[in-house]
Amino acid sequence: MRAAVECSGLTKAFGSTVAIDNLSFKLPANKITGLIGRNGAGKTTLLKLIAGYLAPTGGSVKVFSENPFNNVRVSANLIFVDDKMTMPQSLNLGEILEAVGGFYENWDHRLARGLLEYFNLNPRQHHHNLSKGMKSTFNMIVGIAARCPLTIFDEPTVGMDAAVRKDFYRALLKDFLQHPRTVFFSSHLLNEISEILDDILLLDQGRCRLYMTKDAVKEFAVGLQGKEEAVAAIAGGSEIFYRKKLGPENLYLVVPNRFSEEELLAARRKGVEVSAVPAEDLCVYLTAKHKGGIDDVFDRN
Amino acid sequence: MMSLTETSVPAVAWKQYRFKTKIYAGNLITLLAAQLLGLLLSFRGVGFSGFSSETVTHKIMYISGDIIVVITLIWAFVVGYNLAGSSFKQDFVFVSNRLSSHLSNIAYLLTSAVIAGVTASLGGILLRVLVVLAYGGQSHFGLFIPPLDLAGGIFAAILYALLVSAGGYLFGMLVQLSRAFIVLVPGLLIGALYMEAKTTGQARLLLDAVNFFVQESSYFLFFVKVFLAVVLGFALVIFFSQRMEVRK
Repeated sequence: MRAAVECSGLTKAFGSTVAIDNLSFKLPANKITGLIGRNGAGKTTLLKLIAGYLAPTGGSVKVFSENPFNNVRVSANLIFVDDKMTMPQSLNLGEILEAVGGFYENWDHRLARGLLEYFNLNPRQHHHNLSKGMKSTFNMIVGIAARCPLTIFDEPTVGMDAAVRKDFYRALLKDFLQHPRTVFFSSHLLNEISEILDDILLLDQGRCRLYMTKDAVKEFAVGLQGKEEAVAAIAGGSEIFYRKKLGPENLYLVVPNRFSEEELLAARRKGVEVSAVPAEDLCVYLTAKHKGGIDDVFDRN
Repeated sequence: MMSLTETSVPAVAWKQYRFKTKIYAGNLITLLAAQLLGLLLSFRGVGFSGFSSETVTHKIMYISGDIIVVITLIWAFVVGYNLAGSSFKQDFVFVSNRLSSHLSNIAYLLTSAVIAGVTASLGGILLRVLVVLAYGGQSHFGLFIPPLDLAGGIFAAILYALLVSAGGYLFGMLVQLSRAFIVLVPGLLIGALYMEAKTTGQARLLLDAVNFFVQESSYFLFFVKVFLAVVLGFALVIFFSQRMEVRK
């Protein structure tokens, strides 16, 4: 299948800070991909490079096989939704939807008005008078109703309450199923969004740490818990993603899931508990600088 | 697969132009308010002179529509400057590239200049009528303006408004490029005048530049001068913003 976005050796530096570091990946069309990473991992920079707001320092990014920077064709097929979208101050929400709809060929005005009503946004209100969460909600409505072949959400749920977030994920998924498109979605809340995701791209210090389907991420690692010697013996020399002491004798380790059924069975017999690692936890472990997490800082003393 | 939308720079620029006439409609209200203020200020007269003897008191009041024009030109500059500051951020939220953004801005400034030029000229006429009605007496020019003169006046006013708003746009874009230009441009201007005054005892640079346009008596040459200056300004803006990144 043709890729919607293709990065090769993509690099972006701001002065001496390298935000995106030699990044290469292909984003398949018509999937919802989650862009996960910690603060400062380069998520927003990557999305802005794809949207053509920023020019790469090195390497290349292609959107629908074209360079997105200063490209009106890419721009017409892409929408970038975040909490900083500049909306005209002189128009009210209803008028903004009217005016913005003119830019997008696939714009669904009925859907936009329907969502506006559902989320209790008064079309006579002005964007700059909205609360943070309502702004995000309005921007999200624009993003969904625009039905762009490439829809980018950069932390779109800022300020939204839990109920609105839940409705938003559902609205996005419903419209996506009827009108498949490529969605690239950055968020801190992997647990919440993982339900709607196909793939997960984990970014760490401007590099791709992990890029696979959501299901593969769930299988990627395994947690071992039990007596220290027993756990260490099973883990052997394999890479350790996370280590946590549980009391004086017990140990919890997260290691790559490269065990056969028999090995896991043998582990259980030795009193080692084998558990799955939730995707969100795994992403935190993989991008942590200290293998023991915040506890390391305190245990040093 | 959702099919890709095909589009072109002129098509997008046209949509952006329509969008801008909507979202910047408030500019026109500011213009009318400013011109009304100019009208009120002019009505008081720009100067008096008079003499009186034992039997006769003679008073001459100078009334001119210049204030309206000056205020209109200030408005045009501000519109150009603000457009450079806000439109870039606004345009790239939706469909745009750099060229389409500039083209739609140029079209918008052109429209504004036409409206500003026409209303400023008509404001001058309104002033004459009001003065005659209010003070009576004899207006020096009379009330009648030959249509060709009126058309020429409107034409010139439009060109002035365009020139000034393009200047504001260029300045605004420089500021977008680097905040330092806010200080740098006036600084350089004043510095150049100062140095010139110090070395030659005169500061003719700015005056000459203004006179280059103002003292042109031929409408055609005036048009050519303004046209070339404006094209040069816009070309500069388009050229140096090609690699400009979108800040939000």
